[in-house]
Amino acid sequence: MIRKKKILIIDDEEDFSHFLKINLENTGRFKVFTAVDGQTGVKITQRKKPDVVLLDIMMPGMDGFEVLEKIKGNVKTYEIPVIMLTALDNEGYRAEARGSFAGEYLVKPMPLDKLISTIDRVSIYGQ
Amino acid sequence: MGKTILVVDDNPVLLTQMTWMLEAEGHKVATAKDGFSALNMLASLTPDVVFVDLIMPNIGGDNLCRLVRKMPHLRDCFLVVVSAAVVEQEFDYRGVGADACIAKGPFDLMKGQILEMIRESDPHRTPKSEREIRGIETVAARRITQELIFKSHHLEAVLESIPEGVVELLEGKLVYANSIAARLFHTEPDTLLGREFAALFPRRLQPRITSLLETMPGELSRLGEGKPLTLYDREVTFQCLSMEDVDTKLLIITDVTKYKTVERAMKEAMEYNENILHTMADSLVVLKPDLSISYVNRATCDMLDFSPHELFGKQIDQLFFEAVSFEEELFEPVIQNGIVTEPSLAYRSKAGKRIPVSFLASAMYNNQTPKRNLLGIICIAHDLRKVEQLQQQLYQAEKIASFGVLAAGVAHEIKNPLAIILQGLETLNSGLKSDSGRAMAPDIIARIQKAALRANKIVEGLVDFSRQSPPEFVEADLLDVLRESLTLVEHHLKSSRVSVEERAADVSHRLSMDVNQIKQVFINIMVNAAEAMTGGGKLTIETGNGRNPDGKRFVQVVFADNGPGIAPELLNKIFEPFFTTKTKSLNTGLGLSVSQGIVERHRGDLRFESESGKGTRVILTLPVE
Repeated sequence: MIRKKKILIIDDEEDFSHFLKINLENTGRFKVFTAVDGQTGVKITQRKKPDVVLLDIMMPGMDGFEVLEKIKGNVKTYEIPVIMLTALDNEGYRAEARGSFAGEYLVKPMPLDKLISTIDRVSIYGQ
Repeated sequence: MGKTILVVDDNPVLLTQMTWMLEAEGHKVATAKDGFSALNMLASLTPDVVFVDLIMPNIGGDNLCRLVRKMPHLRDCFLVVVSAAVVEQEFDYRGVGADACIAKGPFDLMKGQILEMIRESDPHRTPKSEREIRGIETVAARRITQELIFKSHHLEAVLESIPEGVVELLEGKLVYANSIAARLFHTEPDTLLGREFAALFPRRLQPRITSLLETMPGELSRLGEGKPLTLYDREVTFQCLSMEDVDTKLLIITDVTKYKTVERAMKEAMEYNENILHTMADSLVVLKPDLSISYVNRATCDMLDFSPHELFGKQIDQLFFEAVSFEEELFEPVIQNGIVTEPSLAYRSKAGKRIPVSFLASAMYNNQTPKRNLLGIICIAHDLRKVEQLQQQLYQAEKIASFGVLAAGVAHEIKNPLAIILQGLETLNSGLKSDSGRAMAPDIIARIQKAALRANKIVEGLVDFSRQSPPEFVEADLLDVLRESLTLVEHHLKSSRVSVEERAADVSHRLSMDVNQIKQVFINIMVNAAEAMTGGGKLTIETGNGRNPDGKRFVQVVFADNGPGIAPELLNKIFEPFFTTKTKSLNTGLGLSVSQGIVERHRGDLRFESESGKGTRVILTLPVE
């Protein structure tokens, strides 16, 4: 049996995380964790070592870029692929995300299959 | 050979005696009871000798003599003055054109002198150089006559000295005219005597004069009072007094040329001034010291749709749209400073429409010193409807500019609920395949609905903000307005990585405002703050309320950012139109000047406090009325 990939969604939009978690887990290929803010997200990343992190940018408190910095700045987590998953469609943010070693940049709303194929792609590179 | 003799005397006894005596001598005798009748008779009679009494009613003897001397057919007529008055008063009978003079005494004594005169009246006589007044030695002077003569002279002097022309008419003919009257007819008093009065006037005026002379005895009638009659080069009015008992009319002719000229000049000057006031584009209202309206110009009537007499006497307060008491709020400053300006007041039209005006009141005093009396207050109001319309367009333009900034943010904001909806539908779709999934459906649908409503609210907020709404003051809670504004800029702030902290005092912030415009001010301030904090920062919004030193309540909103602050040299420029430090294209440079205009319309205050490196505080204060 193939090991289920561990996915962490860090997003303050709880309903979004809720639905995405169900949809991803319904495929039978993923085990999904969620965090509603950056700080919790960083902690779970360190504890659960997910295969892919789906990271929102605009969040109260610690925003997505700060979380990205924490993940990529930590020797234990820097190799975990991060997909920015945000409503912001902005060239400046895309550039900033690339510069901070985010694996991909997806703009909400996106079709589920596109997200899954992106997860598959970055997790192969990551492994 | 008998002669034709005319005897003129107001004493009927004397006339009878003379007639008997002279007819007995073989002469033809005619008599007249006064100068006037004599004059009438002389038009068709050519006597050889005329005996004339001096003091008579209706043209005296002296005047009669003068007139006779001017008549060509009476050139050779022998004129004898027969008067008792010559005893009391020195009389130059030759001066009036008479040939001789007899002192009137007892008829027996006079008789011989009269007959002698008739003998002397031969037209081919050689006039004696020196002739005494006959019989003067036989007549004694009487005191009463002296007094009467004096009075008569006095009266004549009075009539000569008054500025009006005075004429006396008998049967429509002149028996007296003073020199002023004669001058009005371009002639001498003497030549007027005996002439038909109406005939002295141009034909077109004659009917009016004739009807004037029909004044009933004892009555006074006037002619030409409203519109004077033109007599030669003068403008005159008439007063006609018809005497009772006697058939005499006294006319007073007043030369009103000068008054009329002055009156016309004054009228022209007044019309000129009136014209200026009426042509004025601004409303002019003059108040009495009791603040009631005593004058309005045409612009006022046009602006308010009232007729002038609907406004006269009204209190000025009734013209104001909002409840403004002139006496309480404006009177004192006007008296103290002489002038007061209110840049934004509103008048109320007859139909109840609000007419925004800039208002100026000044006190009008008389020129007497030292005591100056307040005559009234001049109120000038400039119609601001056009200006407000332009201002409205400017607000709208600026709003559209902010809309651009907000729309970009809002578009992103909508993507979040859309993402929820899309994922939710996916969940629902796969959930329908299993019983456990179907059981979850109501929860899934509820979450989707929530997201859809959220998206709608975001769009609505933006549409609402961009809607062109007429300026409208309504009672609203400033905190609600602030939160609605915050919803609109939320995404913009988030994407600029600006966090917002709200500290609201737990008090009512209800006040009258134009919600849309205040929203525009809030958004403008917050967008500015976000742009000032490049790379993110924190915006603290504090609300509170308080009282002015004069006890008036106000609400305050303070926006404090931790950006770089505004350089001191720029701080006084920020309200200038088109001033901007931003280089982005979505910017009019009008934001703060528009905001300030809005705040001023709300009688509030918008203030900036900033220090380089320490952030900026924007303090908005609005009065609670």
